[in-house]
Amino acid sequence: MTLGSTEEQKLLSESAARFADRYSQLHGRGVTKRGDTSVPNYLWREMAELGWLGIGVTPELGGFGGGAIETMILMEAFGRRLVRSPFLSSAVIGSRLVSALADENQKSLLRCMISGERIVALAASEPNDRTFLTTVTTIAVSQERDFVLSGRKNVVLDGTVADFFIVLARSHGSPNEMEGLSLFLVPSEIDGLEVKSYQTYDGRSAANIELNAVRVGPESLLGPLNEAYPHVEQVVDFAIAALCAEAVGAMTSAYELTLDYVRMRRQFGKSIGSFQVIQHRMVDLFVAIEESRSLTLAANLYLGEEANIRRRMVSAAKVQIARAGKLVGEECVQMHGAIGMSDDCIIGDYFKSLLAINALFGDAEQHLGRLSSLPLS
Amino acid sequence: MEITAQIDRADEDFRKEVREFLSSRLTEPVRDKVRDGRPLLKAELREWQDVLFRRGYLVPAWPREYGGAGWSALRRWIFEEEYHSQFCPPPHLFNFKMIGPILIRFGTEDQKRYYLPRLLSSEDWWCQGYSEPGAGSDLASLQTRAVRQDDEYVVNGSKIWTSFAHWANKIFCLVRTNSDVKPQRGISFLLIDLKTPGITINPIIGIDGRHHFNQVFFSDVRVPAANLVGAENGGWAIAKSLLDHERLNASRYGESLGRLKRLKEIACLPSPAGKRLADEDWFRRKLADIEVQLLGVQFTALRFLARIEAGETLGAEVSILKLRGSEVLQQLQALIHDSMGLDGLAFAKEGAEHEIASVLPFCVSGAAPQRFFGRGYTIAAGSSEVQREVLAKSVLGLKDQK
Repeated sequence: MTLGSTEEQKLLSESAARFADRYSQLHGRGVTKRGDTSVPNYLWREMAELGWLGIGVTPELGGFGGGAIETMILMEAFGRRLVRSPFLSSAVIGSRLVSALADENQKSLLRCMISGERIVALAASEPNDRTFLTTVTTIAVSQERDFVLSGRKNVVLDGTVADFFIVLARSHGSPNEMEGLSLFLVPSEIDGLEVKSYQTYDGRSAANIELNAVRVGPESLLGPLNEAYPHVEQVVDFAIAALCAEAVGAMTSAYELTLDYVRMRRQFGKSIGSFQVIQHRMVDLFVAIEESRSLTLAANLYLGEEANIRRRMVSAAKVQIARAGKLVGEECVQMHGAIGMSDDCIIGDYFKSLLAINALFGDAEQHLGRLSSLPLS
Repeated sequence: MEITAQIDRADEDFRKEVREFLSSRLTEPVRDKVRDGRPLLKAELREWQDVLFRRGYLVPAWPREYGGAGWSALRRWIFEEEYHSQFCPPPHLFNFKMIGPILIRFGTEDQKRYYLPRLLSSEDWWCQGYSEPGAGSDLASLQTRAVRQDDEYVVNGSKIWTSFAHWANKIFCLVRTNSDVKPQRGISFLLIDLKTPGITINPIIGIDGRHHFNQVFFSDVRVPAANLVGAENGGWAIAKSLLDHERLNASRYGESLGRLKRLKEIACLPSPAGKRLADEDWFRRKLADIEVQLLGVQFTALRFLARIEAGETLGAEVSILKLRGSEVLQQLQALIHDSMGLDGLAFAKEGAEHEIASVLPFCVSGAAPQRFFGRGYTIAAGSSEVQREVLAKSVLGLKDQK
């Protein structure tokens, strides 16, 4: 049984909680307010010094050597305090893609990612992408030995601060095919690439990217030509499992704040938490969070398994997280009453964070569809 | 589902051994009845219990010295998975999961020596006398009185919803022995022979059209004082004491697993209309939805199980499993029934299910009654509302205020 935690995992969890507490003290809620989206450099450096930026990378490649469970532990702690950083983009998605697919020359980038000097973001989703990764129209045309990339990528997480993009482009076939996709490692400072930055409603840094005939050399191709899809799908499953943990953290905090609030808030001469209607609704949140925690653990435990088991557990977790997240977020705002409507009240930040997580990497409906398409037994 | 298999491959051999034994011993008629949700005859269940007993599989969770298997919590879980995936009928709950463990923990040596062998051999068949017409969720308000006269108790009152009293020769009862104290403090735990003069058993036909429940009446029933379990007025604690691993069973996970397997079989049947259910989008999404919920129950139970393995004692939070597990099983039963479409309207009288099977080959004859009976899973053994009360008070710490 590997459902319990090891001593090392308990220590990691404590250290992550301390970091997140300090982050929220130093950075306050500025991060979820307009105009202040990136993690301060000293905190990003601290994450690097703690080894966290190499968490998914084997020690042979200079990494921390942790696995999905360690990533889960960190993400849950970040979720609890609404920590905003390029950790998911660069240390989970970026470093996994680079360490799995990079050739010897490209691997030098990995060291800089682990040390925090370079940030890498995945540019996969496209405009009006209601279903994640099912349509790729950005094209990569071969010209002599080079590739010329053209197209648009929307809501690229941490696109504002990225030094490199991993661009998913079609090098063969038509927009809805899984075949014919390739990945390119593209520096953000390159002719023809335009980054339009903005912030998401839950304080994440994002950007839309336009690629206007961006010419890159053959050394930019990351992994096999035309066969990128399974690699992207796998790394996105890692990202989803990590994101589910962030959601569990956010739900837990929202629930705890609300539990305190209903105990403290008095109406009709007693605390509103003494009303059975509130008690039973709080219980439903507690149950939804426990089940989310269980399925998040399951998803992370099975990431390394055969593809259909991995798909099943990850999509099940994403469906659960989406539903529980919506329930917890909305109910916590409701139970705060009017104060929950105020921008000063942090409960709204958790609500928004949970909604945003639902939208990222395929929503509940898409993942229910993915589950439905898996073999029956 | 068998997801737990991947958690520790070392237990794979054990799983295989259990599977092989069960599938080689379970007779086809019994298997088919369980698979389609039809009731067993008492003789069929008794015969199956004997098969399990001889192999040491009847009461694996009991302490070793009383016939238990000494398995880890994980192995007990694997056993449950295999047991229900093979469509084995659950052994008589009241013998093996209720009165047996209670006697082991609270019975006198004499009581254990007399009763345990008899219930293991199915010579004694127990039923449970807890609920009363006026005491359901508020069980502690029960009024069946037991008055001590020399070395006997004289019992008067009535018990209701007594499952399988018509199969039983013994009943374990909660009775009121003191009315002047807080209700919980005046309750005793009494063993009563159903052949004692003054006992009448009336059948109650259930919502599923079957005879499952009864009402049992006690009129000046004289019970030897030696049949008291534990101390006089100490019955409430006995009734509430379930071991942690027994509380995991409240998830009904095994039964849900069996229903899920049956549902997938049904989905893959060729349909006269051409399209299999397995190819219908609405069905697949509904199935996926329930599977997500069942995985939630499964891994929540496994997290509790890991805590038991680590030597922790579980708290009231285990109520999650009863609350959610019963709902998931109900959804599975409903989807099996719904999957039959209009054919699902056909209803067979108890024992006449084969008549339906010959008219409507795609109809699962027990699906409708099972669905109806399943509504009770969120009512019996602590209704969902009671589970929420327990969680609100004991886990969330929310208190009522006057």
